[in-house]
Amino acid sequence: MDVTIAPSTTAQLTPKDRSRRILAAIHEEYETDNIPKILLRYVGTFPRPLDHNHSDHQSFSDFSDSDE
Amino acid sequence: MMLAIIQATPFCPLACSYCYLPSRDNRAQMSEDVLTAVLTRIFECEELSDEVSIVWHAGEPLALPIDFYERAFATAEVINARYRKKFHHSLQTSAVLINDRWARLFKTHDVRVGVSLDGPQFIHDKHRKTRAGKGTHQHVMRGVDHLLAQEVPVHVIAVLTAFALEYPDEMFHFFVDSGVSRVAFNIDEIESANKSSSYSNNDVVPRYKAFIKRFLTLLSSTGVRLSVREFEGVFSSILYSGQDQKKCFTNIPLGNVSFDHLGNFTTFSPELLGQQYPKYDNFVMGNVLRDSLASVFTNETFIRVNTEIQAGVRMCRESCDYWDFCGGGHPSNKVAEHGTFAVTETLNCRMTCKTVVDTVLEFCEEQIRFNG
Repeated sequence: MDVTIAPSTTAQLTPKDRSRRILAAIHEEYETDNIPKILLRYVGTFPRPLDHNHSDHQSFSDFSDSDE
Repeated sequence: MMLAIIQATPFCPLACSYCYLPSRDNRAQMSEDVLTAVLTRIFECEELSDEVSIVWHAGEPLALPIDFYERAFATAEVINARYRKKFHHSLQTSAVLINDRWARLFKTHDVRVGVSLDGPQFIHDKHRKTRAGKGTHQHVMRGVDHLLAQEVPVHVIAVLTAFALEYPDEMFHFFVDSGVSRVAFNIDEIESANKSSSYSNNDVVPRYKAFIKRFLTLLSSTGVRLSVREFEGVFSSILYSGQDQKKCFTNIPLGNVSFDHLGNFTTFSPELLGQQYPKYDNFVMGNVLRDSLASVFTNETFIRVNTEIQAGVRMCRESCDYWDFCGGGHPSNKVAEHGTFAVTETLNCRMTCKTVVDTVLEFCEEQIRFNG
């Protein structure tokens, strides 16, 4: 898949914009092989991948650096 | 889900070079009275969510006798019968003391075990040593074998020093071949008793980025089912972008609570408890023998710390392009590096948030082949 945007804008996009652009591509190409396989695999781990509030989950390895 | 982190002993038999714990020589342990009070305070607290993860941490939690945990798990069930909260036990350990009996205990009680393991022996033994200065890798792997024999999933926290950045392939294949289910990469941070970091030199950033990119490429191309905390965090932010920004539970009041062996407790970053900061009353915000957890909201130390932390979070929200991937950063890093919570960027967020986000986004963009 090629998603055309104006040349040189990638460098000007914020991480959030880049994230949304990737998500838009996933929505557009969900049924195809053109999205990153590893992301697709991750999507597959949630029953409702795009309707899930990720913010309410944490596990013990999620807190900072309390290991060293 | 809320984390209740119990430091039942500050003692650790090891002497890892980057350890931040200031009291790891102290062999004191939590009494039965304090333990009962800790568990009661956790379950009775209505301000906490209905699902609690009790994390046994420290120190080395397995430095305590196995019957301490047999009693603790039974006590938790008895106390919770009145409150009926969902909870489970987790534990973060060096694994050097795990034998068949420990592994069976974890299996019986469905304990989620995190192992501190930095990778193959030549990397791990460089920093994770006994007090006599010998490497611990062999002992750790024996513990891992006991866990796997009982079908206890092995989750790893690996401290990634600048030295390890040269070896992404070796790290990847080691974790896969060892039967590890999940890896979380920390860096050696400037924090509490650890006053230096191998990441202090700017030339480490491109090396860190190269490591992350290579590890992600290996994970993607091999199709191996190894879960990596750093990648999942960014994938999650991508997939739910626009719906809700990521929360950072270490800067939310009662997002987690940490208890020391005397029953003192604090909220925010677990690393704060046990640190000597007279300016912040050593971060002690109450004691379970006299205070409920909800009482922190009227505690003077909490109010002072929380005011500063939330000022720092606001500054992050207003100034940082990575806010949606982070949620304001870990207070323990801010205060360790800057002496105050009312700041934004830290070494930890430059590496483990900003660099990781940039790398994963770049990887996805290359896969999707955007023009521009």
